[in-house]
Amino acid sequence: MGFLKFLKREGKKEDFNELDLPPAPPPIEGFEENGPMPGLEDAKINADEAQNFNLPQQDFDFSKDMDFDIGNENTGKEGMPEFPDLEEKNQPTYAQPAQRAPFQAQPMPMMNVEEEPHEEDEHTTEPEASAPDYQKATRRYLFPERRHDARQTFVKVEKFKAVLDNISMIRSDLRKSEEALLKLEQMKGAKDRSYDKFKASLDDLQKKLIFIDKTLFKGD
Amino acid sequence: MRERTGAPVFVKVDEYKEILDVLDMVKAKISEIRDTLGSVNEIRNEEDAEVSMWNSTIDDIEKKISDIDSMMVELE
Repeated sequence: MGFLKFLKREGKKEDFNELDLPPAPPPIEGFEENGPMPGLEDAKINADEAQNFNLPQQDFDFSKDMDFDIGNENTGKEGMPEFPDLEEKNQPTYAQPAQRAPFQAQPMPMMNVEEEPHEEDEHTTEPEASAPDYQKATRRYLFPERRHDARQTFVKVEKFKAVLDNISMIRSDLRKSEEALLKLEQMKGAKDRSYDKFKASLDDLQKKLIFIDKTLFKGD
Repeated sequence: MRERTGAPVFVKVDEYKEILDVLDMVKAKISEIRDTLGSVNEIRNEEDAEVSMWNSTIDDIEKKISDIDSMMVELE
C-alpha cells in the first residue's frame, strides 16, 4: 500500500496565506468598476478621521445634553434652513362628515298634530329628548297608515257597550253556525248512506230484471 | 254623592288600528263564507235536479214493471 503515500500530508503545515486565491467573480453587466477615488489611492479611511474630508461642520455639540424648546424653534438656530410659510389655502381640504343635528320632528302633511314652534326649538337643544321624536317620526314615515298609534283613541261608553253586545251576539251566531254545520255534516252522512242504499237497490233490481229476461226468453 | 251630568264618558281603546285591520279581515272572511254558501247552494240545486230525475226514472220503471206484471197475469 505504499503507492498511496502521496495522499498523506506528511505532517507538512501549509501557511494560510500561501493557499491559492479563488478566481474573482465575473463582472456584473452595466456595473463597471471604477478606479480608486482621486487622492485616496493609498489612504485608509478611519472613522475618527472623517472630519478631515471637507464635510460640513456641525454647529451643535452632541456631547451636551439636548434640550429642545419646541416653542422657540428659531432662537439660536441660525444655521437651520427656514421653510417657507405655506399658505393655508394650499393645504388640502377633506370632506368632513356632516354632523347630524338633533332631529327636528317636522309635521307631516296628513297630521293634525298641533305643536308650538317654541317647543320644537327646545327639542333641538336637547338631543336626548329628540330621540323618541325621531323614532316616532321614522315610524310615521315608514308606516303612514299607523298614524293613529301615536295618539290615544277614546270611544264613547255607549258605543263601547254596543260593540261588546254585538260581539257577544256574533259569538252566539257563530255558535249557531257551528251547530248548523254539524247538522249539515250529519245530513250529508245520512244522504250518502241513502245514496248507497239506493244504488244497491238499483243493482238488485237490474239483476232481477236480467233474471226475468233470461227466464222469459229461455224457450227461444 | 256627586250629581251625574250629561258629559260624555269615553273609554280608551289601545291598538285601535289593529282592531280595524282585524275587522277588515273578518269582513273578507264573511265574504268568502258567503261565496262558499253560494257554491253549496248551487251543488244542492244540482243534487235536487238529479234526485227529481231519479224519482221520475223510478216512476217509469215502476210503471213498466206494473205493465209487465199485468201482461203476465193476463197470460195466466
